[in-house]
Amino acid sequence: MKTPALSETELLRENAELRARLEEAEETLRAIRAGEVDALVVGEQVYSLNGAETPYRLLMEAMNEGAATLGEDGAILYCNHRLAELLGTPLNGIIGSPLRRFVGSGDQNAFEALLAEGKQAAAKRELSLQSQGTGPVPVQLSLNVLDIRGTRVVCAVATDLTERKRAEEEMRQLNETLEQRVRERTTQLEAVNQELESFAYSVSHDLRAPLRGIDGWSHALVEDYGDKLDEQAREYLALVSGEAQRMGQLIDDLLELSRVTRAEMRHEPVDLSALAGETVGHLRRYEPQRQVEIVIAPGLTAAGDAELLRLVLEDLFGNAWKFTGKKPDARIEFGCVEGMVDGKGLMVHADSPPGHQPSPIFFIRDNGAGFDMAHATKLFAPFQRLHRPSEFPGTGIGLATVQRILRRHGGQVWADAQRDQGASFYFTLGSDGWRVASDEKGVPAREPPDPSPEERAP
Amino acid sequence: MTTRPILLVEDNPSDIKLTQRAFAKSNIANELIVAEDGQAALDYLFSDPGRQLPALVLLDLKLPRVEGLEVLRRIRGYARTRLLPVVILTTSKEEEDLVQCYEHGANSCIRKPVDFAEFAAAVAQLGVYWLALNELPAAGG
Repeated sequence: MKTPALSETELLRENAELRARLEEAEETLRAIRAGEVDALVVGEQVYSLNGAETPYRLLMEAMNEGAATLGEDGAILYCNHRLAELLGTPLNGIIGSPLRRFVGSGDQNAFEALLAEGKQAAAKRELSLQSQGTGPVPVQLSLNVLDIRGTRVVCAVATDLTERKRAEEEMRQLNETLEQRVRERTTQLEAVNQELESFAYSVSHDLRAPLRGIDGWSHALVEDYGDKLDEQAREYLALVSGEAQRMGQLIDDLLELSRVTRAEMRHEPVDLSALAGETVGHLRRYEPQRQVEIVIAPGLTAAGDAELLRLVLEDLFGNAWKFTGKKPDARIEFGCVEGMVDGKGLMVHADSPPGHQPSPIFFIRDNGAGFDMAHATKLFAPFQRLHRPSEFPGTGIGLATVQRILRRHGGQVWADAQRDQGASFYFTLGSDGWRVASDEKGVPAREPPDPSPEERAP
Repeated sequence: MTTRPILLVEDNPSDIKLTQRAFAKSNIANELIVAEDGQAALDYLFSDPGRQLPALVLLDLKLPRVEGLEVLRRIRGYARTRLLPVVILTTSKEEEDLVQCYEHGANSCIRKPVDFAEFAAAVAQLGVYWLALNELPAAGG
């Protein structure tokens, strides 16, 4: 190519032009490298660029988080559309501005601290950004320092917390409403309980008074007019008096049942073996002529309310004592096995499966009259009786009381029996309501166990 | 044995008669004065300062007009009746009631049993203890 000779001025101008074009080319290359360019138009031809960085750029634009790179002074070098959206400001109004300009006035110090931290290592903080359109936007701003070809930039990701905050607030309000409702219900329940208490009180007072009259005046008839009454008349009066006394007992038992539900519960170590010994002592004193072999495993302790647990043992021992009344070789045993209990109160494993804490299951077993399990569905409901009063007297409230007490301890009670083969009553005392003093210094039972030591249930 | 009367504060006619009968049966000769509500009891005790005080007050808790505990509080509140022996006769064995009775200065609390024989025995014991055995200071009425 023949080139005409150029003047020095022309050469200088051409040189400057070439430098400018070189700079332009270098800038284009830089932009391509930095992923800022998706396509080049050269003449009429469009060259799209599918370099390795394009997917990352697309990812940046597609992600739901606002993202930006910041210079060390906090100026925004690059940001994605999501961040522009969050800030309610067009991209060209953001790039080049310091990010702190978009931080809520109350969070400026927090932002500076975060930026200082983020220039060293990954850091994040919740703060609010100032959006032009909608006002403050709560975000979690995560910063991390990046080294891009020798230049330190800070990468910033802003996660919109608006939805989360709204959900939190909703949750808080729901909780508040719930608490309010619980408070209201509690107040209602307390009022109902109060009513029940005064009801129980008037039952105690008002129902017993006429009974005392019925019993008293039938006695008076026998005492004052006995000579004018024949045998049958006296028998009828004895029945009237007996029924009045039975009803008195029913009222007392019902009051007891209501009392164990209302009574405040203590949580203390209770020596069940000792309590059982005392209970048996009372039974023996009451009927010294009875020959009953009693076996109490030593050192059985639990945590609970001693007075309520005493009632449980009195009821269960009392039943065993009563229902062995017709056995010449009566035997009652109080002991403990370890095992697992399912939700229905049935012993499912004598040995606990690995990883499961076995709970002690206490039992009181007798060889008395027993009962048919087919009739035992309502065993623990008040007034349920499985024996005729002429065979074994009772009000049918004892086991209901036992169940209420054990439930209040977080435990349960169930029975296993066969007609004429005796009955076993099992009970637990809830997850934290027990402790077996097998390797601790258990207090020995007051009634020393028989020659046969602690027996284990099969 | 003192011959002063016994004041029974009781609203149930059947209980009044049973108590009268039980006293008669246990040979307690003291006159039994009956007040059928709390106000009547207070009237008997306070309306006439010249009247001899009873040897013993048997006080039911649940009474018309003025309640038993209030009667007890008034008795303990006046110098003249402060040391008067008061035995609470109640159908309740609620612990709270018992505690309240003793806090108000009851000398004893007895639960009226349904069984008449027990009731008669309780009344007889009351008579023996409070009328014959118990020594009161001279100021006790």
